[in-house]
Amino acid sequence: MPGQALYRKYRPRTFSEVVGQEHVTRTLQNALAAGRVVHAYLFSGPRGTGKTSTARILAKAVNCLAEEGEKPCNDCSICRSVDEGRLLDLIEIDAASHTGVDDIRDLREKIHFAPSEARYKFYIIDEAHMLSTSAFNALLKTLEEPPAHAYFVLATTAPHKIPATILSRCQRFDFRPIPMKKIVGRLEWIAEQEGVEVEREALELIARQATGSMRDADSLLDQVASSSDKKITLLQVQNILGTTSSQAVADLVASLAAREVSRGLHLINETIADGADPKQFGQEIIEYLRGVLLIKVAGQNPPDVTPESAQDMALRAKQFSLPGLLTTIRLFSQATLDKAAFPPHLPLELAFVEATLPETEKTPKADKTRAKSRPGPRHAKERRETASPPPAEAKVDKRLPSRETKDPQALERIENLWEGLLTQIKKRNMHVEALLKSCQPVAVEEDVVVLGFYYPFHKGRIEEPRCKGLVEEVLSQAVGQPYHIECVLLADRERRRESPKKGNLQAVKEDPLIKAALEMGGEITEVKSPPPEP
Amino acid sequence: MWQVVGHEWAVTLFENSLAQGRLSHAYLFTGPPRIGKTTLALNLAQALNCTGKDKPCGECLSCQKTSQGIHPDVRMVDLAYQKGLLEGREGSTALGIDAIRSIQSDAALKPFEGRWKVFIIPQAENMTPEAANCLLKTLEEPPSHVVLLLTALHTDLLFPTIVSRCQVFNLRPPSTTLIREALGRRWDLEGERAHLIAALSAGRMGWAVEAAQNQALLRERNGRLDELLSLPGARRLERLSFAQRWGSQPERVKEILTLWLGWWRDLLLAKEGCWDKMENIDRKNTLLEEAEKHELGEIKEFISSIRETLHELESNVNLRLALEVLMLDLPSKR
Amino acid sequence: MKLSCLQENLSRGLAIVGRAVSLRSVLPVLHNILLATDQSQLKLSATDLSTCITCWLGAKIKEEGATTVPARLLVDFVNSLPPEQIDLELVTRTQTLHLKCARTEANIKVIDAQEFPLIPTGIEDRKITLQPDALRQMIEQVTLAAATDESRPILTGALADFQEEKLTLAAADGFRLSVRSAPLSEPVPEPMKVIIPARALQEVGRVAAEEGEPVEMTIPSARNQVLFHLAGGALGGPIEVVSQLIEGNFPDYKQIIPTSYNTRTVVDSKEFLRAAKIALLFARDAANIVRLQMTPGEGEPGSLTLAATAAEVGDNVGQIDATIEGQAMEIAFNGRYLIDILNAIDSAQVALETSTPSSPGVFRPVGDEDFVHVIMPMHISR
Repeated sequence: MPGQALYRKYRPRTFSEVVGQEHVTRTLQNALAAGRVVHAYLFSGPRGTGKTSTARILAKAVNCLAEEGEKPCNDCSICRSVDEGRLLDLIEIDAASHTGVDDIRDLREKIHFAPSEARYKFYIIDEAHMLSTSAFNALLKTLEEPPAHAYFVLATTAPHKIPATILSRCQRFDFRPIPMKKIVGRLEWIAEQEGVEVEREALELIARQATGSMRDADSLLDQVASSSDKKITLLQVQNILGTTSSQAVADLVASLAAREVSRGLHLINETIADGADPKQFGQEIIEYLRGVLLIKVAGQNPPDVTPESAQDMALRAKQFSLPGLLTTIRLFSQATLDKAAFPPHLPLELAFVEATLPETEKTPKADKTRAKSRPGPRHAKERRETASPPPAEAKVDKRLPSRETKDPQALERIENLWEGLLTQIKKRNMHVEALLKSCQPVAVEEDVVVLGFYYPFHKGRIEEPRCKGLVEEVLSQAVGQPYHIECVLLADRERRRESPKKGNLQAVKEDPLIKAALEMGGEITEVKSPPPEP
Repeated sequence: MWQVVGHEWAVTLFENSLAQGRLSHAYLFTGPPRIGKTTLALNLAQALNCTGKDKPCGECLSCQKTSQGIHPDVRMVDLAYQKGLLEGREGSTALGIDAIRSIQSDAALKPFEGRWKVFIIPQAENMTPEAANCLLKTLEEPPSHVVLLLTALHTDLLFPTIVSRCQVFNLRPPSTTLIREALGRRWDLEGERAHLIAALSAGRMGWAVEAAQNQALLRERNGRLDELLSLPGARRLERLSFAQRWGSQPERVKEILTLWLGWWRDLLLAKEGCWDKMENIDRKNTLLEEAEKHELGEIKEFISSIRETLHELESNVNLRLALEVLMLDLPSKR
Repeated sequence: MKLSCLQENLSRGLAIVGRAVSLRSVLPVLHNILLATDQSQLKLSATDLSTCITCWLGAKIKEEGATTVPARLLVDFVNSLPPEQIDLELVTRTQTLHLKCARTEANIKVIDAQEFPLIPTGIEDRKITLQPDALRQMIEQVTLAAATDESRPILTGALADFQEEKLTLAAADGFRLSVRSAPLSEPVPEPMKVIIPARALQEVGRVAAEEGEPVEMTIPSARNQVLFHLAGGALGGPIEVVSQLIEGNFPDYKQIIPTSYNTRTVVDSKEFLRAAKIALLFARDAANIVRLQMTPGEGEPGSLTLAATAAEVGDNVGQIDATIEGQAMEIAFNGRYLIDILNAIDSAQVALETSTPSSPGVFRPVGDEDFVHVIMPMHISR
């Protein structure tokens, strides 16, 4: 059969072939030797780390017919049937297609049938987190009393979605992302088997790109192997991946530092026209800037950098101010988060422009106060009438909403008044009324009514003094006593672009930027809240 | 002949794969809309089953059936397909698990006419989580005669488990020069119009072809652009009535906002003298004048506002409200 | 295309091919039936890309041609016509088929025949001839064990294993297995294994039962399809069923059939079936579990007891005479499966071979060496 994907062709068939999961395979082999294999396992871990492969190897091992020697033998009829995907008693269920309780009930009934050719029926439930709650409950009964002739392996990339009741019935193994060195080693071996010559640096780039997944690495190797008959070079791999030349990155950072907007925009456009992937490009810019940061903060050269680059970086370190550098890194981080932008280079262009803007122009909110006294060089024009929206990041406030208000009746009172209040406001300002429709009162604390919003930009609008004043005025009139409003974001919408939570050290530590600084030897001395929103 | 414009590196890779018999069973094409992802997928489907010499020849019965969408071994698994499965019942706007299950059983049967059975799943990010998870098994170990071709805007919009099972081709928009040449070669369009369409397309080959064939598209663009350009000078009431008018047409709004985004990006480029990267090359003078009237920061801010609104569009917000807010963000003319 | 034929023939032909028209379709043209002139006959074809059925019927051809017509409308329309001559004419300009019968006329929109998938027809030199009755029974006995759920597509098919002068058909769903072999009139040149969807085989069985002519079977050299050719006759032309083959590795069915037993129980098939049906009335609320107890007779005839209990319904015990060889034992089966197999056996007696309560039970019709059926027992916890 021509062309089988490398990751299928070289799927591990023995415990020793499973790369980078020795802590799992050794334990399983010991259990097999001691006859202490349990009836239910949970294999969790990221994609491509060997969960299903290990489950299949275990299925062979418990059923292997070999009298002695290592199991699985991969030679007996059972082992071969498993490898050929034809053993009736190895049942791979993809949980996604069998989410319902009926499916699991069906399984529970069928599990009472004796195995047909092997000694044990072996169930592999892949993507187990996709099961519904009721399906989990039904499965729980089976896991509580599995028949002696059945084994279960639940495999999942999202173990946090598995109920605790199920977890407690399974022996759990966490598969880890495979270290880069091991991936390179395995790739080298596969390349040799395939008679493909690949430069060591190219393999390293593939392994880095695979981020711990052997399957990703195999897929990439497969792809680059098709790109040429001759020895595969780093350059070819870079082309396929859309990685940028280091010169382009250095040039771009140089123009950032020098605030040469026109040159920067040209560079971005040309680099991407040459085949660079915008996201990759952005990540490489960040990587470079991190190097600059390290030199600036710690005075030491980043590892894995040529002396020439280090020299360049040192030069930039002098040009950037520390806050400017941090802001720039943050802006480019945000730009790379933007999935599927069109045109693809727009996020980078905007990040570039914003990073090179003079401080005074960065946040128009600051403009209002500062511009009057100290107009920046570009500030010849009138300020615009309406303020711009708050910065894009959405702060999900964790303190609220809690329905356990001190005075539940107060909330109820406000809720009852709400409709009438909207009508009042509509008469004064239709726009504000429309905005208020996208929120709801969620709590009342003394003289503060807390409004919960689903979208940051609605919240930002209402928080503008004009709107806020209007709402408070009408509200106070309606209730008959002075009330203020406070706006929060409701957390039930997934908003990934979060900024660090106020005053929350753990959250601060998780900020990618801070994390990077910490990795480089920085430490957190103080956590300051950002200035309160107007 | 490969019909796709640009993406030479991908085509070369496929040609090598076909020659070496080193085909993968799953490919994923990612990139911005209308740059030719599905066209490339169809081309590959043709090449796989082509009976001609220079694959894909485009001439043989198999190639023709594929391009007409009637090849019994090439399935375009999209919403229309899903609707067919549901026997005309109204399906949802996402690709559901039934469509993917049908692939599962269908894939087991050997091809009907050709050598390969090809399943094309365009806009794979449009699959429900159940459907995506359901696809994993087939995507990892399909029968030996099956090739699956997925397209998506970006790998980040898919589960990593999906991406990891595919060979990923991250496609970039073809250059405007390539598009201009292709318009001349294949659609007989030359001169200024070709130049303008190529620039306006910003790499969206699909749009360029449509604009080349349908005169109304450019006329429409002109009309809309004029309207958009009048907004900064308009009074607030007029702006809000604009928001109200488009507030009920989400599909149109996306086009309009994209057009507007292109315009403001051009302003940004004009401000910095990057003339050669601009899209609206027929309005250079206006761009230059307008650019003079705005701060760089102001332009940047408004671009962000438009993008924010485009994002909000995706999350089913009150469209009119979102537009109203955008109207308020629009820098006024003195 | 211009021709005339008899309403009865057209109606009958449409009924035969209509079974292959797909209800839920990926290509619009698959909702249609292909009408094509073929020498002096009218050829009708329909397919859902899994099974194709083609038949030929006598017609007066005035002009050659081909087109495809929406199946539902055409079938319902033709069935409503009086048993007289129908004239059909394709109007290319408007892409419609004009039909005329007695005083009724109609125009039906068509889709170009070019869009219809290419269906292989005609028997090749390398063919196998089978008797229709034997084939029908073989299909019935084997396909009952095929899986109906699609999670392992390979198990929805039956393995056709050609070895020298024997064809073996096998199907298994993980809980039961059917294997049936039949002698071939002449040896196959080389051994061959293909997997045929059970649904398609059932279609062949149905057509074979109605026709009664020998069935010829051929696997075109591309080996993606299997073609069954029936001489037909009633319509004036042959009938062909083509099925796509399933790709993959079929389980090693020989491995599943136990080679020895501890207890062999021979009973009257009809009595066994009756007892099983009664037991299932009670078992159906309790996972279909029917307990079988074999008691050897110590010189007298032994007995087979079938028992079923449903906690909320009641219980039942039935006993039948049995000739038992070996030791007493108890085993539980799914009552549904018992009924399926006993229904498909036409021998007077059936033998059940068992070893332990947790190893498979083997059913063999007494006097018929060519068929064996295996059922996995159910695990019963007391």
